[in-house]
Amino acid sequence: MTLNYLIEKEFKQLFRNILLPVVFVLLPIGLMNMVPRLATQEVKGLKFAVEDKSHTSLSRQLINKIDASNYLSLTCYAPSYAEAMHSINSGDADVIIEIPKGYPQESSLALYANSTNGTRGSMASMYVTQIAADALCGDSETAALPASVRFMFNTCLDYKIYMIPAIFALELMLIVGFLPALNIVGEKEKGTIEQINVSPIGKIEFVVSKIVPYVVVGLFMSIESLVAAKALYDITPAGSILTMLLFIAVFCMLVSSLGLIASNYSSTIQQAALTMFFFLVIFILMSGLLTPIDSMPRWAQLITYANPMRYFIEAMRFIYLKGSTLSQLLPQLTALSGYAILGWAVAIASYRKNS
Amino acid sequence: MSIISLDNISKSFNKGKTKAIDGVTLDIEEGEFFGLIGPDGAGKTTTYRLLTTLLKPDSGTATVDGFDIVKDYRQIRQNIGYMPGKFSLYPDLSVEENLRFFAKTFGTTIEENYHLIEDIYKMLEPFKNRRAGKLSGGMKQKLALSCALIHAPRVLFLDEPTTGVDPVSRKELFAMLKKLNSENGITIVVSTPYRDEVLTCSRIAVMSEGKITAIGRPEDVLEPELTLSHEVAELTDQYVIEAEGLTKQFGNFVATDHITFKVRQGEIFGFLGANGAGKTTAMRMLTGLSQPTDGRATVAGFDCATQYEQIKKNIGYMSQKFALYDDLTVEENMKLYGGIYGMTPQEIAERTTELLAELGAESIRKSMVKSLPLGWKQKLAFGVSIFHTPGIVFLDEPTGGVDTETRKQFWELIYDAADKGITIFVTTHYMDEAEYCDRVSIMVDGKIAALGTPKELKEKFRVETMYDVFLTLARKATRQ
Amino acid sequence: MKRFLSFVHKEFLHIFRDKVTMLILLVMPVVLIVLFGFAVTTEVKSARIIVADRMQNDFSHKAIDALKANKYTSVELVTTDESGTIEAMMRGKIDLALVMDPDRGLQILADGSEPNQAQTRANYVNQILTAQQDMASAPASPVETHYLFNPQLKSEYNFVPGVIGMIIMLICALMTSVSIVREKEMGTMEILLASPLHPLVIIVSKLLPYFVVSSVNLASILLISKYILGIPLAGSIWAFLLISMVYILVALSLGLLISVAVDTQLAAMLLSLLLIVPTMYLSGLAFPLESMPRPFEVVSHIVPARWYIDAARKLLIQGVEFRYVVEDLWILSLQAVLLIGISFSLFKTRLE
Repeated sequence: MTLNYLIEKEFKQLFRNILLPVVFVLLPIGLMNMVPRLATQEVKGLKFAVEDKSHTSLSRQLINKIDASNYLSLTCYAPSYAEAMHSINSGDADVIIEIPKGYPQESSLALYANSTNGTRGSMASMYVTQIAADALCGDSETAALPASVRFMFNTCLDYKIYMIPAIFALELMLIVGFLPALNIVGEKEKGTIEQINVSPIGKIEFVVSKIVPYVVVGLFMSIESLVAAKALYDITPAGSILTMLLFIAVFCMLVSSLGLIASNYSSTIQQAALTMFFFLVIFILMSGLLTPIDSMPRWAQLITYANPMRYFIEAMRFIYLKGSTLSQLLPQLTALSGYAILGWAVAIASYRKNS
Repeated sequence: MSIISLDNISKSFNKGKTKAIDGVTLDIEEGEFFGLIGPDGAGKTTTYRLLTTLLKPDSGTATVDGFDIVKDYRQIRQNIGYMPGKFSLYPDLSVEENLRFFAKTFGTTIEENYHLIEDIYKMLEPFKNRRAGKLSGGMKQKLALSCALIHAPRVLFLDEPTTGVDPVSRKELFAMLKKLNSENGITIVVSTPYRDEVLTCSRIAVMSEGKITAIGRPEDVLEPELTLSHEVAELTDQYVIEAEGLTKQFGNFVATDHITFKVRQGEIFGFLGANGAGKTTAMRMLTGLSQPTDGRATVAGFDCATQYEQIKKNIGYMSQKFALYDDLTVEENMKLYGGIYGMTPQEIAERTTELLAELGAESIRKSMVKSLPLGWKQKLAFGVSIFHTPGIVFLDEPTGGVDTETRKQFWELIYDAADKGITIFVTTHYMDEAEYCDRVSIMVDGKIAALGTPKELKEKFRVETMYDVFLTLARKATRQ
Repeated sequence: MKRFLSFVHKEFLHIFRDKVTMLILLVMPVVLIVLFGFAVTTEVKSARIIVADRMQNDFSHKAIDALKANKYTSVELVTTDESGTIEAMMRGKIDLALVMDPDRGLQILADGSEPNQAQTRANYVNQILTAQQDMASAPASPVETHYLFNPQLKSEYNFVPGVIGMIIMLICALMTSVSIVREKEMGTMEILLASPLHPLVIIVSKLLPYFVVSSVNLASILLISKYILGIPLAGSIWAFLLISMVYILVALSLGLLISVAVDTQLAAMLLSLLLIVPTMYLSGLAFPLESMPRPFEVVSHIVPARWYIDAARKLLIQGVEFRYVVEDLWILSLQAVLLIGISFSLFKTRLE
């Protein structure tokens, strides 16, 4: 009963704020537009410099062939190695291809790849090797790889479809985790919480009333993101949307409890925001959102098991890409729910009406 | 030539929608002790801000010490001292650090003008390493005054410097101001809601709705004091609050030290004390916000250490800091608190209409709370605290910073509530309000130093007013 | 000058008094750099494999043994039937299936969710298989590759300079963005304005103490990078410090601009947190500028972190001469001057 009035109040305040409703609508669209396009590890736009010492028709042919490929483009003919190195240092080239005298009979190509970014370096090397091999073999069959490769789920190896599920985690973390926390600390700073504390409202009622509106907004934004992904990239989850919503709901419960704990222990907005931010960044880094957990060292992988966001992102990716079913995702669901219950227990225990 | 001169000054906000000051013309002579008097929203603060060059006027001209407030603002800023209405020092810096900072800001040192602040600052000196945020209200204001004075300004602008300050500190502050004015020739422009302070001014201007309605000597201009009469209801012997040896200790500091008292049902109980005497701590224990460390107390029959959730169902509370939601309307705030106390929608609707009528607030029913003037807000906060018709209501300095007229209206509301049998437990720094209470207690250094009806207390201490009773007791205080 | 020094002193006191915030400001960079440095990599370290062996011959047994022996691959199950593959992938138990069929030959089924990882894993397995094939005369590779600057292709070489750029931007902007707005909210700004303090004094004194704190952070980040993460610091340390200082100034001024422009601490915090978006996505930190769609690439030119990260990689990893980062340096300097200028012009000397 009482809860209705509290929730009504929160909604009114939420929508009277000029900024927030705009953020609710624009954030999913903005993120959906930006993140999949930007957050890609695809290697594109490799630039190469050539130091051609052989000056044969074959070498020119090879250069044209590389330049004509989709992966590499020629930016500089360098008369000397120093000159070529200059183009690397100034960022005009990623690779130097040195064609020695007597190529290809007496010597092989030398490739100098800027490997500051290791992925770029090795990919560049791979592409050039392939093209050079093709050029040498001429018409004859290229040396076939022993096994043919088929990629499952993400058959076109599109990075976007890998990043989209992660966006849900980002926006829910911000809206459902951050905002209620700042809201409660705001009531502390303003003094309005005092009036609430002398009333017979129970802890749980008060806390729930703070969370519910943001969970509703979170669900709304998730659905908006689903639609945006379809509209922008024509990407829809391979699995069940209901399963997805279930995970989203549990995740909302979880992040909101984290926000509440932060707000219970801070007395100013600045403190609350800094603390939340600190954990947010760690959660994101250790969740596999940006870089795969499999690549982490063993100790770091162990830490990720303590990171609830890990399970959510994993589940979202499995549902979106592989169409995993609820029964296949039970371990993730159990872990997530466990953390949510733990979070709420701590949040309620640490909220004090009486000192 | 006058040291301050305003010629037909106007200033409006919200793109001309709200007129804060409307064609004000005023001259203040060098060496005057000038009072700027008027209710909240009359335009006093805007006047200060214009004269301290923080705002530009829409029309009209004004000079301070011969300098134009628009063109020569730099010169003015060097020669004036200003103490805004809101406490505006750095709470995380110590007393001395605050003072040193403001001295350096004006290119001077504490030592250079120490003679000006000596009287005030020597009271602060024992606490010079304490953080400003941890000082009591009276001490904060003394520090703020020291900071405003440290560069030996020619003119001192003080926007309600004594609001929220207990009667003893208030008296000391004003005595110092008079001394600065008479001995050092500093021109002082001050506003205050306290009548006794207004009477000490050499001249006052009364402002209302952005205009000056009267200028002259206070005794000529000031309207006669408002008095309230209230028939003391027949009091039963039923006690609704009983405290016995109630104590709260923070570390080594005993904020409330074994206090014992009883409050009857339907009584208006004044709970007085200087800043830092332990009133708020005691009140927080009684309302279930804070656990006592020793002793016990019951409110409405419930123990405040163990049954505080039951207490909360039976009391109303109005905190010192305004605690309604300013982004909700008047009606929505009432509805929210009605709902919180478990009233049905029908009860809420009826009670809202009834209460708005009692408050005379029908016209602002749908106004957003943040758009209301302070006086209204305070009345509204009181209204909300008795919305669910509790048996007891706790009011923590409900009239702080409110003008005389609104204070009178406020006390009429309190009387109405008391007539309906609601027990009123109220703290205040206005000693005229203490006279309105059925019984008062006065706390000094965490203990109750006196308890009785105003009449009894005045007889006991052989003085004329509650103000004098308070001064007699509070002067014995040893802690700040 | 005395006024200025006293203001700076006051700002230092504010910083030292708030122990919690101070702690977060000094510890956060350390935690972030360590986490990023060690944990955030895109190297492919493992491939969990199901092998469906229907060949059951010498080659297939040799191949399985080779896969088992390789440190990058782990064979989870050897079977004859690949029907459980998809189910196992849906549960996230395996990354790849190798099917060896006497009729259809060798086939790899790879979980393509993360494209780079998928490709790399498939390549690994193919390489291992190639080695097992009886190739009488495998032709020598026509290309001899030299990996410059990062011969072991460590991904922290790429990430660490970027992370330094991000940490500095965030911490600095967070610190200064509340500094002026807090005084507005507390009401102390009213007194400062009514005093003869020059706005420039206020602005510069807000910057200086945070500059010092940031320099401490820079030092700790640098020490961790060098001695714990093994970043080479190949170029001139002085050039790096110089450009880092300029970048710190840019980040602090950005926060200051936010602080001057908004009215509440909450808005200031949110805006400065939003800076994380361009700094993370439009700076080349984790996602190469070259892979961005054109419009975003154009926008990235105004992101300070883009220039700083570029310079940091060149100086820390590539060890280039100073002249190669001059462009980055002057763009950052220009941004610093511009930002301080805008903050100064937006700073109101009155309350409205």
